[in-house]
Amino acid sequence: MALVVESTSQASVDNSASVTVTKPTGVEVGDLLLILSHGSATCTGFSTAYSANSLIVLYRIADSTDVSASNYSISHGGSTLSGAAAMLRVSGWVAGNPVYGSDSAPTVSQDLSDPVVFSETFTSARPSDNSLMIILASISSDSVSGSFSSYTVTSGESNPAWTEIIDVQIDTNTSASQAIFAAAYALTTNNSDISAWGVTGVGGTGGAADFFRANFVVINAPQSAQGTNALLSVSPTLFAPTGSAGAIGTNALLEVSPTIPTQSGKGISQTQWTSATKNTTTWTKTNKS
Amino acid sequence: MSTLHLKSLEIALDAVLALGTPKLSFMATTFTPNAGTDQYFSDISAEVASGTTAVTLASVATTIDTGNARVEFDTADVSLSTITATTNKYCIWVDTGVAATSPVIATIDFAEGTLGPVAGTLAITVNAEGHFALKVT
Repeated sequence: MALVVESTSQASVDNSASVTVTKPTGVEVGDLLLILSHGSATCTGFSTAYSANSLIVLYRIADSTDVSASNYSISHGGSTLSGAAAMLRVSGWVAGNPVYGSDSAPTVSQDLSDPVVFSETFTSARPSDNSLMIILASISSDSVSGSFSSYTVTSGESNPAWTEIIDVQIDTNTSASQAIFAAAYALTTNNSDISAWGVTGVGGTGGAADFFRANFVVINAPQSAQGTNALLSVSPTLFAPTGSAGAIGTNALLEVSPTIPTQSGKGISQTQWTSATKNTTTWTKTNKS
Repeated sequence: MSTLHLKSLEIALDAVLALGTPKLSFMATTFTPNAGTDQYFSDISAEVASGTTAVTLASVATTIDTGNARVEFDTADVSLSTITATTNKYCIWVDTGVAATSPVIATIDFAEGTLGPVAGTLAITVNAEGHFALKVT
């Protein structure tokens, strides 16, 4: 089923605990709801799809409570850190985290009015026949005004048309007390691999250096895949023995010579005693004188 | 004519299958099977395709095909739901409960090459003759 961005909404507020975004129109059960925001944004019932570079994508599969809801409150983890956020209502998704590929650009720090051009090499397949691409970007500083433009993705097709949902400046009570937050999306039916993405931000001068950040997210339309196997047929290797037939065998006498080790020995000669031959003389007794 | 004998091959294969539960794992496209060193599931577990789980095979059957002089190994078709993964082959192995003693029997390529479901169903329609066959000649 193809992904369709049915509707969007956005909101921003200065130095607040949360920003309230009106629900995109026409939410139905099963829709994919996305919140695009900055920092450590959270919203009850939403899970993190992708977070990097202090830019975040939250998602939720709409149920009946979303159908009846009017708005969503997004907090940024502090009493004065909110904030800006955009929401998308997307049909065609099924379940789970929709992010297929994602990338975050290295933070650029400068205190110039020159544009910061993000041009990031990034490879992502697009196995489905349609995909939703989102770029989020921000500038944080203690004194800045600015905006983002020139959203691009490089693939086998020309850069598709981008819809910018939000590009606002907000004040937050942090060391970098002002920020620009922008987000845009593009839908495409081309499934060639992505090789790069980019966006251009323009800030201002004055105060501390500005920090430029940008993230890129790809959501592919759900699709199934079915494969088959060729039968793996294994044949044995039978080793042919050598042999002879029709001959009468004989054997040569196996003559074995024993090895008889030389023995050492000791002999003792015994004295042979023989009985003396008794004298046969007849002795006559003589009288004692 | 030299030949192995069908019944003994069937008995031998059944004996291996009886060591545990026959299972199937979808493998990463980077996995290159080694018939010698990939002996047990512990040898290949790191190469299972991300996003997939092992499937317990159903209707496992070893059959003597006398006409083709071979023993065939067949199972029911396999599928995983709501899967995002990339795979081009699968392994059949026997789960003894211990990965280091669970023998790997076969690695088989998909005829279609690489499959890449996105939050969808990853399915195998098993060849009508089975996954593999052991011939006697």
